[in-house]
Amino acid sequence: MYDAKVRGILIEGNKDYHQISDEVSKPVESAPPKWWYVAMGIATLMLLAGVWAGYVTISQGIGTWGLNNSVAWGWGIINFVWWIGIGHAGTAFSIFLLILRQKWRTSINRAAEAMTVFAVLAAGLFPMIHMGRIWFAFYIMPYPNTRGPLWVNFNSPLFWDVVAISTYLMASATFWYVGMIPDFATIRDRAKKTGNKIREAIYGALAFGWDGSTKTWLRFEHLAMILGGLTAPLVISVHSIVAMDFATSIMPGWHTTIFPPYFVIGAIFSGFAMVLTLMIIIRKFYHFEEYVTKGHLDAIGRILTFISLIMGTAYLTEIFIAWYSGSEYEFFTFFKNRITGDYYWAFYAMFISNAIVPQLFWFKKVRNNITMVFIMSIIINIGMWFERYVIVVTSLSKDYLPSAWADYSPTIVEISLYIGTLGLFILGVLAFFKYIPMFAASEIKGILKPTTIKEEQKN
Amino acid sequence: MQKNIIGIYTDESLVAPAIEKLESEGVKVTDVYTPFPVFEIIHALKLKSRFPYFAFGFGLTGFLLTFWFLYWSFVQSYPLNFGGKPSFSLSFVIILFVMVINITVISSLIAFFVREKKGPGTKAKEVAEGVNDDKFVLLIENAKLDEEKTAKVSEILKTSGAVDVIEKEVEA
Repeated sequence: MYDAKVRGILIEGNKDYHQISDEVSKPVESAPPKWWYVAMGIATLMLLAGVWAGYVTISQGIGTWGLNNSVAWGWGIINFVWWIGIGHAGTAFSIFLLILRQKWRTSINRAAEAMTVFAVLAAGLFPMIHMGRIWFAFYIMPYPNTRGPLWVNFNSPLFWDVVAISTYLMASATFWYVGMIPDFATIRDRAKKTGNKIREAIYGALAFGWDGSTKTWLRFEHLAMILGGLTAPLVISVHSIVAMDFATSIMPGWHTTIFPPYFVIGAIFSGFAMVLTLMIIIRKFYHFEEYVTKGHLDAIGRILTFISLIMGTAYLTEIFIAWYSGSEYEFFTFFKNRITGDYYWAFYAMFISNAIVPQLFWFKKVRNNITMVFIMSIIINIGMWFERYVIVVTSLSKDYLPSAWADYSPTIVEISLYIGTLGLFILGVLAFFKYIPMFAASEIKGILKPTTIKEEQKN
Repeated sequence: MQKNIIGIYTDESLVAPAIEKLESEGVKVTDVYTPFPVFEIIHALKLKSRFPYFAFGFGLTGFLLTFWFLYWSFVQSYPLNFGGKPSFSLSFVIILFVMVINITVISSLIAFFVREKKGPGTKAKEVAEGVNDDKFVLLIENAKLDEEKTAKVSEILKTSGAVDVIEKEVEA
């Protein structure tokens, strides 16, 4: 039982059901604001830069990147892991909070899931392009073929990655879409009322003939729990597998058993930070302050503080074990090539942004200052990017053989590819703002009464 | 003469008692159309779903299919030698884990839409306006009721708090 007196009201403004339908459907039914077109234009330009870089990479080859024999993984993998990490929050939010029956998820789950889908799409581009010969990408699919038959290596983490990420994309997109069906039906019915034939046809098709029958709702709830219950372990497995891409190799700094949990936590950390960024933008620009209350942002802030502590512990554990193991290579990587050495700046950018700055969330004043929260969410996102940079570049650039040591800096092609995926992500999110109800209206209606204090109870 | 009787509510907490009252009078409520799932109504209608059992079945099928495929391709049909490691290894568990989830998600989704007969282009059943907005609509479909009983049902709906009661005659 949710006690609104103790835990705060989830939806402010004393709304009734019809008002929620009105307000949630409004961005879909009205023309987008001016800034939306400007942002769309910028995102399209960014995407075009990425398309150019993709063309250069595919037509001329991976030689256009700054990689060399030692640093064979660069920005491509860094950005891949960064995007996948961000793509974990949606599911973490929706599904963990669904299974834990946390009611405050209803204001955030839709946007978080949208973000997941676009982030995973952006992530998926990197391994594809990194193959060099993208037209042979289908070789990764295990099917009876005339090439031997040549099967993929089912014991390779790189192949596990392919299976896990494509399953994750499918499952999270499915979960997102199924949740939207009742809200599409709301928009369809409203379009019918106002006589907007085109909108009625489009959202009618998207709504799959939803009629709100209780029999359907019962199965719908079961389906949501089944998808949720299955996708929750998938979240853990996907990033564990990404971590095993590194941990099963013998690189100093990678070959550690802490990697899978450390990656999963890092992923949820960066994803929650991105959710925070996005929710602040939504509540500010679309005036949804009554749906995404300060209480919601406060809750995310608290979770981030906790995860940040785990991150700090993981960093310190790694450093301790590098010394305690007595392995000179491990010691060198952590003490001579991370804490000090050529890449010290990346290490401190990572450590300060992820383990120290989020500790400011201990203070209620900071959690309640939206500008501060916004800036901190951006800092965490940047910090998590540096974490991947530290892991990939420091280990590869100086491995066991000093004669093979090499430096790495990205070329304009790699940078443009990254900008391109940012453009893709922003385009997706902007399209989501305009064409899809940003809140799960049917779920908000369901939690409205149990989480509101009625007038007579207030005194 | 068959009739469809519709009771429209604006408060979800009034619907479940009305269903119980009607059932005690021997009138079967066909369905209730709501903007969000209301557990009291599901309970009052005595609805049950075997969906979770089916999902378990899908998962089991997925497990067996994936295991068979891995074993056939990697151990029987074309065992590749990777540094002398055994072809049949414990690391199959990862692909098995992911594929069980994959197959169960897809099959559950298909099962849902097939069972509900829903898909792109399906026309929604229109019971009353505002079902997906703020109305809770109780439907008694094809009821074979005489005048007296109909009046009684209308009376129950109205006293239980329905804002509107609509009777429609349907051709048998």
